[in-house]
Amino acid sequence: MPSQIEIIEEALFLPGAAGQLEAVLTYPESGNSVPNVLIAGPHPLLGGDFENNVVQQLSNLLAMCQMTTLRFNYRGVGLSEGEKVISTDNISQFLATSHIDEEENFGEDVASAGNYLQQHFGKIDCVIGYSFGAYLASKWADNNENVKSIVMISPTIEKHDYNPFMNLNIPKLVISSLDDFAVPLDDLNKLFSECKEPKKLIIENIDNHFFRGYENWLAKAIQEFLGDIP
Amino acid sequence: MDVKHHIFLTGATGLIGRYLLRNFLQDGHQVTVLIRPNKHQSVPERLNDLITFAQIPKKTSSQIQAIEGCLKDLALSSSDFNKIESCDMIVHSAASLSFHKNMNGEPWTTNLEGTRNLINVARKTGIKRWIQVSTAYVCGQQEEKVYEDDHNPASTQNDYESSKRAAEELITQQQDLDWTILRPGIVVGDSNSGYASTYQGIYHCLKSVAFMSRKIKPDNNGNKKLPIRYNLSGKEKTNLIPVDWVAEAITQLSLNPETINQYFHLTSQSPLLAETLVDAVQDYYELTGIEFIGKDAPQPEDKNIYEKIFDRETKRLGPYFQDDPDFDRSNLNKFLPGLEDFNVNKAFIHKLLDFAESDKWGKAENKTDKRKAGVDCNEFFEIYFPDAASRSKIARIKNLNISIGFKVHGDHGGGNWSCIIKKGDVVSVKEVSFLPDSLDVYYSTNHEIFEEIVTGAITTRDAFFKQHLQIDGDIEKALLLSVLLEDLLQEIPFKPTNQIRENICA
Ligand SMILES: NC(=O)c1ccc[n+]([C@@H]2O[C@H](COP(=O)([O-])OP(=O)(O)OC[C@H]3O[C@@H](n4cnc5c(N)ncnc54)[C@H](OP(=O)(O)O)[C@@H]3O)[C@@H](O)[C@H]2O)c1
Repeated sequence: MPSQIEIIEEALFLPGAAGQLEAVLTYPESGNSVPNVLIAGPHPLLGGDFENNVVQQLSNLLAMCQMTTLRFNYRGVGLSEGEKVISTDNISQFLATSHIDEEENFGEDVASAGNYLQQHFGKIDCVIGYSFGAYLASKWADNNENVKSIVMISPTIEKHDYNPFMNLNIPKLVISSLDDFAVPLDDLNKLFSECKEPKKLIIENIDNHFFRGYENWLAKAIQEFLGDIP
Repeated sequence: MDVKHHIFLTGATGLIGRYLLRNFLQDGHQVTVLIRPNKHQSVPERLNDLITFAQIPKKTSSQIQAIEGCLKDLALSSSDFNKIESCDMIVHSAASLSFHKNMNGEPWTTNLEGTRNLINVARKTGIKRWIQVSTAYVCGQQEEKVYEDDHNPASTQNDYESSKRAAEELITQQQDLDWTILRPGIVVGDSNSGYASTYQGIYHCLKSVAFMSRKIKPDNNGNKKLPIRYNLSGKEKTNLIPVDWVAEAITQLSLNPETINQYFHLTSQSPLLAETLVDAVQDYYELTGIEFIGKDAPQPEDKNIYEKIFDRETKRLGPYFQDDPDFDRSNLNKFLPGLEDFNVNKAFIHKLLDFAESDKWGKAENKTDKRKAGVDCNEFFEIYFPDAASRSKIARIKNLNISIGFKVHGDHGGGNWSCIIKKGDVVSVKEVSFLPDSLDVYYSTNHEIFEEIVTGAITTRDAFFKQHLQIDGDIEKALLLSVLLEDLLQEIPFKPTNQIRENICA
């Protein structure tokens, strides 16, 4: 990663369906900043906010590679408006079912952030979804022709429906660790083999679901993937 | 006539260093030691303890003086420099014994950068003679016999070995230093008394057997069986050597100018076999059951609780319980023909265990450690946590049923706590010797990070992302619970009653 490149992190609020969403736009201080990339983070009840190591580091590292990235907090997380996600009801429900009702609504937040990027840049070169965010990203990309490619990091295939992902025609990169607690390898291989081309799968044995210390490696893999897209 | 030296010694508070200090003082040399304060003791207090350990008459104590400092950041005053200037040799025994790189960059910061800083001091003060206490394991994993002047090291097995090797290379590249490299094997307690000042490395394994032995109930015939199948043949060699023997060798070699530019293995010629060690330990605790199933046998799939505990504790030891290389000792034998070899046998292992047991594995005299540390783990887990939880969201989550293991490690207070929450109620929290394998989630961190988390300086998530906090067990539950803990600490901040804190070498 070229570390000498200065980046600008612009804090902003963007309009969402349940109020304003807290977001950070990151781009290089000088030069062309394409492609532009949207990043959707993990489940807020499991600590998913835009300061997550993968979300934050990818947005900075990709900006150092001359990209523009947008990361945001789901409703009810951080300074984003909406009912606080960390509540006794939500936790009770999550303990009982591994899901919360609000989950599908977070998908609207991905769309809101995507709209913002689209309004300012005309298209979305790539949406990166990490963990639960991969589910939301694939669902959203399925309904939006302005999304040009998708990266799914540690997709939660055991818990969520990834059928929309199967039909996507855009270039797809899937990254997972061999020992990921949330990604059964056989299921991942099956999902991947059944989804449409163009596609690329990277499986490495690194730090379970978390990529701690491998953020640079992730950014490099994504940069290469985007570089290969004609 | 005997030449008297003035020695600048690092690592004097360590196991080997304190024996070196004792030897040098008893032989009438002057010693200036580099000491850093720790959480419990100031530099003068630590120096006092060393003088007591060295068993020198009070009047001789003028032979020793201390300089306060940490190798990572050697900010010495001009009076410190004056003290060092009168030294004619450096015996560099300080090192970080962390096997794997941790958050502070150890073992590299102390072992390599610290050595570099010390070289600069040597240069500024004109000291040429340098004794480097290294380790026999800089050779890495070797099948062949390893010679003392062998310069074809295999790939090392952990950061500790790599950093010690890098330090050796740094020293030997310095044209203006008259260096001697000394490489001990695995250093354990005193051959006469069994004394040890710390219980690291091989002691972890011994300690785990000691604790398990107390948990096992004898059968009808009064026999205790510890059912551990271990993936070794029993014939593996472990190069244990007593600290007094190593210190004697280092002392003699340091003072001999003919050892300049030479390497020495301070190892045993008849290393202990794993089966002898196990036999000695089983004998000591009146146990049977530890079984060697062969190095290449598949790992048992149905590991029992003792095997899991043993695995966890021996994991820290990494390669040192596998099979040691054969260390050639010709150079040592040539220079110190009179140094009697020692016999690491069953009786010696029993002596080590006797001492460790009487010292309660280091907890005997400093039982108050946890109280003295800035944040008292007991206070957090046993007082704050149940109380705060009962007043927080946790109490209102009626389907929260979870068992949690917290492990706080570090020299300066720590321990294991197991905690059970039923229907949102913290029904038990207790300190345990070992965390059972049956808990839902585990968190582990060191004492410094623990302090930062519970006092709100950093969040659990930050600590986790930076790999300062490890989680295990049901990962999803662990993530959820760490969000809850973070929320708890924000809602009801923890205010330790006792917050004396010295910054060790910030
Ligand atoms: N123990 C073994 O099995 C073994 C085997 C082969 C070689 N060695 C080598 O023998 C030497 C001594 O080991 P040991 O067994 O005596 O280890 P130890 O008991 O852990 O002592 C380490 C010593 O180094 C000091 N130290 C560590 N980091 C320091 C820093 N940043 N600044 C100043 N002092 C620092 C410690 O001071 P504090 O008390 O302030 O922490 C302590 O005095 C080391 O070089 C080690 O690599 C040890």
